[in-house]
Amino acid sequence: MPTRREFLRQGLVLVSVGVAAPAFLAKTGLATPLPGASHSAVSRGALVVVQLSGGNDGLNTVVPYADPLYRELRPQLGLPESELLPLDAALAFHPALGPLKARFDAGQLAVVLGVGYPNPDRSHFRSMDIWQTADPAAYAKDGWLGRYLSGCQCGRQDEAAGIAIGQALPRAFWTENVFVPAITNLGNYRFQTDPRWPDDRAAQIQTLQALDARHEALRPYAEFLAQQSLNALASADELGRVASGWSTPVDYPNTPFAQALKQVGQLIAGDLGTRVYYVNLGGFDTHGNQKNTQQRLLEQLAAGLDAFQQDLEAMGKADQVLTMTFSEFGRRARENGSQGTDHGTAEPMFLLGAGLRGGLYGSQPGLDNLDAQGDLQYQVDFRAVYATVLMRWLGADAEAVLGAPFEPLAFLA
Amino acid sequence: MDQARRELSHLLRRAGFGASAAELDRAVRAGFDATVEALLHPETVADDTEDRLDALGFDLSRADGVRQAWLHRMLYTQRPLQEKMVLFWHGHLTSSVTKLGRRAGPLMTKQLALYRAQGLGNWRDLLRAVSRDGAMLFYLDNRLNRKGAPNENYARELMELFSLGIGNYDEHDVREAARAFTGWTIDRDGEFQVNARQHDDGPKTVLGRSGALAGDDVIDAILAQPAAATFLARKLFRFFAYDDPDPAVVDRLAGVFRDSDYDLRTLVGAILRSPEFRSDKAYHALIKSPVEYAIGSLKLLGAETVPADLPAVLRRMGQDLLNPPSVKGWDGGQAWINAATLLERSNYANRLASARGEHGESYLDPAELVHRYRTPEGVVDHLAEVLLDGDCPAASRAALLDYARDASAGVNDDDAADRKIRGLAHLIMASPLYQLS
Repeated sequence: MPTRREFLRQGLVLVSVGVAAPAFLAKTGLATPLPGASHSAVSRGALVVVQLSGGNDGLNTVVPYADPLYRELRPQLGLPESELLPLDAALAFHPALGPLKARFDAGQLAVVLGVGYPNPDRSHFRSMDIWQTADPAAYAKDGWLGRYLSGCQCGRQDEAAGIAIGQALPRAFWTENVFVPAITNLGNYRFQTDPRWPDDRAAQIQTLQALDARHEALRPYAEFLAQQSLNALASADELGRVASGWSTPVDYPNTPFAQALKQVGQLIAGDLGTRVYYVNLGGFDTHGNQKNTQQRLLEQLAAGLDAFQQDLEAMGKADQVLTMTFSEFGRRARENGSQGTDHGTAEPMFLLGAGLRGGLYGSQPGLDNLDAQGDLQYQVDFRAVYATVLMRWLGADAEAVLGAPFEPLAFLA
Repeated sequence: MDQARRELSHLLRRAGFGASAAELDRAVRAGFDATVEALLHPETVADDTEDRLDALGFDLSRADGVRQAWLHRMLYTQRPLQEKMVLFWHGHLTSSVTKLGRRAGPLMTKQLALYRAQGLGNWRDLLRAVSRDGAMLFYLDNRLNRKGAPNENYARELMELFSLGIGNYDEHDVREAARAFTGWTIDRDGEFQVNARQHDDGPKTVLGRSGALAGDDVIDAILAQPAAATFLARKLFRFFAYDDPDPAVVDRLAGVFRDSDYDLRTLVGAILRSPEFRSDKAYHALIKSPVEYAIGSLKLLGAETVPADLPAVLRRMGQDLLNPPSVKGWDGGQAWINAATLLERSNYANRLASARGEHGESYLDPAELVHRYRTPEGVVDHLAEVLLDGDCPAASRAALLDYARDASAGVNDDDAADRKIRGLAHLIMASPLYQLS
């Protein structure tokens, strides 16, 4: 069946009401080799966004171990100094972050300290929306990555310019006119028909495309559903091709997070021209019994990211991919009564890749300078981190995407 | 399909999980009003679901057994609104198996049973009961909420997500409410108890109400806010009718709810009987959730059983029962649909359409359909009637007929019927219109 590329090469745009599916769709497309990636000259490569869902406790991730207030505020949760991995005289990594410490030492990891935004919101959903829309003030509908993909000249329009690994499309990608699939498993991403009549498959695909193209917008969601269906059919074969005949030398850990990154590696190796990938690691909402939960999650994070970076090295793309982690907020400075912490504010962000300048950026919020609610005061607006990535990695107009100018940081030249 | 039949098909999709042909016939004979009445009063309807589930013997000590049992309940129940409300509450007053460990099966069974028993009862009573529910006490950590260092998780989500909504309380209310719920925990058997030593009985102020407040007082303070009725009325309207109600409609329903002293049956009844619910605007205006898609398809095809791997299929469609993606439940609507989940729906439909009984049920009898409906037009119209209420625009019907008539040379009539009729069923169930409730 024709790929989306072949579709668009013919200059056709699929319209909705009353237009019959063009005749050329009736031909069964033969497999054609994919053209090479078509990044615009300005972008240095792909961006992988890693969302830590639930609100990762930043204070136990990048630990101000030399500050006596740390142990005063966290008599039970304070991590023993002997187990920590020092970055400098003031700050250290959580013991589970060994692989990331190695990357830091190799200059491939940047840590931005104290990231947040003014008037912090402590609702998971509102704060996550803020991070994903880059709009703390109003209730923007579209996402920052959606706005970027919508505005950039990244390859051909409507290609899978972004891909989310997971079941739901993150709000960060929401926009009217750019197609971003959410995929759980490349292997399942295929349109199946009755195995007894394989010859009927082409006719079924053609008919479904006709049903999609000819739907009449009588019902509110009909248009949306038809467009998604056409996208699904077109991309299924294209992405399915990427799934076959690929292997990696890296032994990724057998965790859902690492396996998701493995799929990203596979897609990057497939040279689709996709600009942005999105992966999720959840479970960070540690209101109770934080120690074991956070330990487990940070182990998964570090091991997964490290395996992914090794995979990129094996492909020769270690400096062509930038990975960025964030969470919707950090947590309270003082522990609660359940060996956990409640929703807070500022947190550290990680950036990983061979193309950046490793080190510490921003500044660590002081434990003696908490706000009226007992939370850390942010030092760096998250939009400045986004702006750095947009301007200096993706080659985009950061001010147009974010709606305001932000001074970039120095982790990218 | 005539208007009266279409209206009942709509009602049974929204207030339940759809209807088989026989169930729809019965509803048409009874009429809209009597059908709504029966839906709202499940206790008046005879139901053998419990016996059927007992006979199937699901292992309710495990989460997957609980999922299987629940899916069969949705297929079999003669009290569909009661079961639809369980689904609603599961997505609204959320808990997830992932935090419950080895007690997940029993705790979720108990929570679902609470929603079944009280889902159409009084909202104040339901809030009090869910604040004492084992799965909820685990999931939102309130069992760890102690005097002196309160855990805010439950208090926050109770106000933000369950009963009031953002903007109708502030951080001070959250912190004080957390104090009021301290000591509300579970004993060794998973039963609710108040640990008096851990309960902060000092003076507090929540939403303008002061005193030595405990959990139930917080609930009273919440329900004293006008916003409480509006919040839930809007959510239930959007669940049953359409996405964008006029504020005036929501206010009217909120008023009914408040005047009934927060009786859920009254509110749901007001929604189902409203002109808005029965309007053209509401018809095919919502996107089916994966559960509605999967169970609804089984009902329309006259299935007697639920495929054993349906919980996994639903997970791939974006709805992992007993494990919502967050405490907000599932966003629903457009969020159900992306390329991957549409492919899952299509592939599930293909499975049902292609099933010939080797591994379970067969749902279609192509030879019988040809015998009864004779021509491609007859078959297409019949399938469109069953699957789409006949709501099939001319251009779509033409595309389906093109497909149905195109039988390759050399294929005999029986094979052509098998191939094309199964194909038609698959295509209709994969099409945009069929995704609509």
